[in-house]
Amino acid sequence: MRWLSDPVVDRLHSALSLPDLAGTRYRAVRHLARGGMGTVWLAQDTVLGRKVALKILDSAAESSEFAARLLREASVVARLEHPGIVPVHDAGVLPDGRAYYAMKYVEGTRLDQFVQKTTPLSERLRLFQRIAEPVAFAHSKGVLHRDLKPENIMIGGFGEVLVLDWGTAKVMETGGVAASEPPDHSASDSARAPRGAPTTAHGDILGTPGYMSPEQAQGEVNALD
Amino acid sequence: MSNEEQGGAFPATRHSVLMAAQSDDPAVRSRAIETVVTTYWKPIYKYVRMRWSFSPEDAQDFTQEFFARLLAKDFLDSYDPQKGRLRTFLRTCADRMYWNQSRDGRRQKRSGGESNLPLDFDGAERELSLTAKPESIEEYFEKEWIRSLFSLALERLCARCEESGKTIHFALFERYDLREENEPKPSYNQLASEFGLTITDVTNHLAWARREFRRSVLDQLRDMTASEEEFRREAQTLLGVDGL
Repeated sequence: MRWLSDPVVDRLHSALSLPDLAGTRYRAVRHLARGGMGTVWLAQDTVLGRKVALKILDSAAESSEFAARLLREASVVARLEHPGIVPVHDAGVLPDGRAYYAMKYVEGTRLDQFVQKTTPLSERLRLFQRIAEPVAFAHSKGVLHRDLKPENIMIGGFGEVLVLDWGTAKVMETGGVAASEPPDHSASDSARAPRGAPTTAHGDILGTPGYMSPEQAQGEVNALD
Repeated sequence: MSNEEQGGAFPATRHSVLMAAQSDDPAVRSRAIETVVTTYWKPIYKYVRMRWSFSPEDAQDFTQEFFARLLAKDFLDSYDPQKGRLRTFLRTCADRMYWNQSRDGRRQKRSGGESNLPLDFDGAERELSLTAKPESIEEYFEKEWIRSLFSLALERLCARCEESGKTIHFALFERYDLREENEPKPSYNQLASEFGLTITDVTNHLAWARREFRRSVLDQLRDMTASEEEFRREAQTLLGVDGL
């Protein structure tokens, strides 16, 4: 049996951790973040020559249930076309059976990190307005984010503001996007079984305790509007 | 023992290694134990050498005794997959055997003719001499387990490449992904001219080999774990996926 040195074991281990993107237009670059039911990778779109963020489901074995949720999340976000909402480029199933979707890779600073430095009041008010715009737009389309917090807001290099992680969003019964969606479901149930988001509560109370509305904190999902 | 023999030993389910190891049929049990021994003997041997600073001779005796007991069903009968990983269980068994022997003031000495397993202890010693002293013995055991897993998976990959006439894929994989730290990393361009291929071929061949290596690792992992749940846990730890 061939002996493998520590550096070779580490290299193989690292290579194995990358998603299998064979047969797709994407090439994995590095791990970015871990979410409720999947992992987000930085990847290169080899056709268009640009970086993208790939959200890939962890499990193929349970693909029918979780894949449907992930693809539904992608579908809901894709139809929220707004400069303040990360656009979804593509969605599908990898050769290994795992569902994924590709979205714009946002380079910037999270709001919680951004506000660590001294920021003038006028700039803070501008940010507040830029956060409210996509949220209001989503509401007009019948979608509630339900996990709006500084960690889910990205400030780009040119001052652009993007609201991220719509994985726990709720689609209302009425509204533009909601019109073709089943009512009263999360775009994804990622917060129901969060693995990488310890601040998001389990069970029927979705969101992050420090940032949720009183109705949300009491689990009154139907009272949210 | 070939990998095909290992892989084909449990036709009902690949996760039946433990059940097979506990079978009343000596032939079935023997094949299963062979798989367990192939996978775990080096981690166990190196572990006892590191943990208790055993001499090579004492560590060899201990390892032979350990797997002899495994073969005699002393250990595996008490393993419950619900309570933990097989590798953690085996390490704990080694600890327990050591403490029992220490308590009884005896160290088992086995004669050469006492159905000793044909294990390459000299090779394990050479490997030990190349390994840095670990900070944590548990992490060391885990790393040795991963090294054993990858080495066995590599044998599977090599066999698959030979069977399917893709030896050049394996050669590229060896040259690029298995190169040692002191060897310069070749560019795809260099590999293309070295192997008489186009850069696209190099890219595709390497992608294929990595995909097959991943598959080999998962196949090997199935043989090394005792239940579907354990397999998924290990796959999650190793590959960042729940199991494919």
